Amino acid sequence: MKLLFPILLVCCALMACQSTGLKIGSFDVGKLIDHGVKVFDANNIDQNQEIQLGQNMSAVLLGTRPLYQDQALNLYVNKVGMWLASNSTRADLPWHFGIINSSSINAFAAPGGYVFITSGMLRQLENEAQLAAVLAHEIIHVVQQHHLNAIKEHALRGALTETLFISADAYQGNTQASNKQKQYSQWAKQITGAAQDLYAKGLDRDDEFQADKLGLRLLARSGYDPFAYIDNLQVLAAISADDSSLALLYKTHPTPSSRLQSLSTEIDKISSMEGKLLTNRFTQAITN
Amino acid sequence: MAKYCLSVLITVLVLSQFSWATEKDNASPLKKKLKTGFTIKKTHLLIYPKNQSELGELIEENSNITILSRKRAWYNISSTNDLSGWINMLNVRFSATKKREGDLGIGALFSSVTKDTLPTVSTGVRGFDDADLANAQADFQQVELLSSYSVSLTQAKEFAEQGQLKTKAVNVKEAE
Repeated sequence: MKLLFPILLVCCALMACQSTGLKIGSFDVGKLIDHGVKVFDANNIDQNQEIQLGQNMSAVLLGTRPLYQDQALNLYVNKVGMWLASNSTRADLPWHFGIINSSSINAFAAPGGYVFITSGMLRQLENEAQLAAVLAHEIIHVVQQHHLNAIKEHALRGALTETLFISADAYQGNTQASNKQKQYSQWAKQITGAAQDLYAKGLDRDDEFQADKLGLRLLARSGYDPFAYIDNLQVLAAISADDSSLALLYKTHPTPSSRLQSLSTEIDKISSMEGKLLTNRFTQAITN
Repeated sequence: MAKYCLSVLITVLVLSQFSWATEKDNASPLKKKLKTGFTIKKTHLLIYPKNQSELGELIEENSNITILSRKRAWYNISSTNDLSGWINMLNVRFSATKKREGDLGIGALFSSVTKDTLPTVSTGVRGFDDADLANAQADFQQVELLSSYSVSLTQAKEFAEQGQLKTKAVNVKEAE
C-alpha cells in the first residue's frame, strides 16, 4: 500500500508527458514512452551503447554524403587513423575511419570510434602528418567522449532516451511494432534529430580547444611531426572565411586564428620534438 | 614518329612531377612552391631555429614575407624589405588563398606540384551543411561499407613500421 502512491505519481507524470506531447530539444518524449522506449539514466551508458550511438550518428552523416569511392584510399586513411588510435587511451575501441565524398572542408567524429574526413579537406593537405593531425583532433573527441557528453548535458537535459543507443531493428523489436516502416520512421527521426543537434550546432568551444591540445600531443606521441598540426591550421586560416566549403566548419569551431593562438603554450612545451611528415607516402596514396 | 615524340614528352612531364615526390621525406613540402605570408606581431628574427638563439633583426607587424623552409616550429623567412632569419610559426599567417579544388587522384598530383589552386572544376561533388544534415536519411549500407575498410592493430603497426613511425614519450607539464 505504501508503494501505491509513488507508483501512481510516476504513472501520472508519464501520462502527463504523453498527453501534453512534452518535447525536449527535438525529442518527443511523450511519444517515445507511448511506444515503450525507456528513458534512462545518462550515467549508465556502457561502451556497447556508446558504439551503437556512434553507428547511428555515422549512418546519418553517411546519409548526408556517401563515402568516397576509393577502397585503397579509405584503407590508407584507416591505417593512419588506427595507428594514431592505438597510441590513444582508448585503443580498444573498434575504430572506423572513412572519407566522406564532399567538397566541404571538414572532419567529424561520432561516439564509439567513428571518424570521418571529407574529400574536400583531404584535398587541402600536403603530407601524411597533416592528415594525421586532422584525424588526431577527431580521435580526441571520441576519447574524451565530447559528443556523448554533449548529448547528456545539453541536448536532452536528462531525458536521455534509449532510442539513440539501439539499432533500428532492436527499436522495432522493443516497440513490438505492427507497422515496421512507421516504427522505423519514428526511430530514424530521433536519430536524425540528434545527429543534426550534434553536427550542425557543434561542440563546446572548450572541447575544441582541448581536442587541439591533446590532438597535438597524440600526433607527437605517434611519431609524426607535431608542427604539421600548425601547418594545417595555417592553411585553413588562409582560405577565405566566405568560402562556402568552410561554412559548417566555421559555424561549429573556433576560428583557425584563435585555435593557433590557444596552442602557443603547448607548442613551447614540445618545441624540441621532431617527427615524420611522410610526404611521399601521402602523395602516392592520394594519386593512385 | 609524332606518336613517339608525344609519349616521350608525356613521360618526361610525368617524371618531372615525380622528381618532387622523391625528395628527402622530411623535407618541407613548402619547397615545391614557396608560400607567402605576413607577420602578426613585431618580433626579433632569430639566427637559429630555437628559443635560445641569438637575436637577429627586428621585423615589424604585418611585414610581407616569403617562407623558405620550416624546421620544427620555426619558419625560415625573407621579407620584402630584405630581412631574413627564423621566426616562430605562430607569429605568421599565410597570405589569403583559394582552397584547392578538383577531385583527388592523378589530377591532384599535377595540381599539387604546379600550383596551389586549380581553376574551378565541376566534379559534381557537393558541399555539406546543416540543411543537408536536416534532410539526411540514415544509411546503414554505407556504415557496412565503412566497416569493410577497417584495419587491424597488427596492420596498423606494420604500416607504422614501413613509415618508420615510432611511439614517443611526450613529457609535458600541465600549468598549475
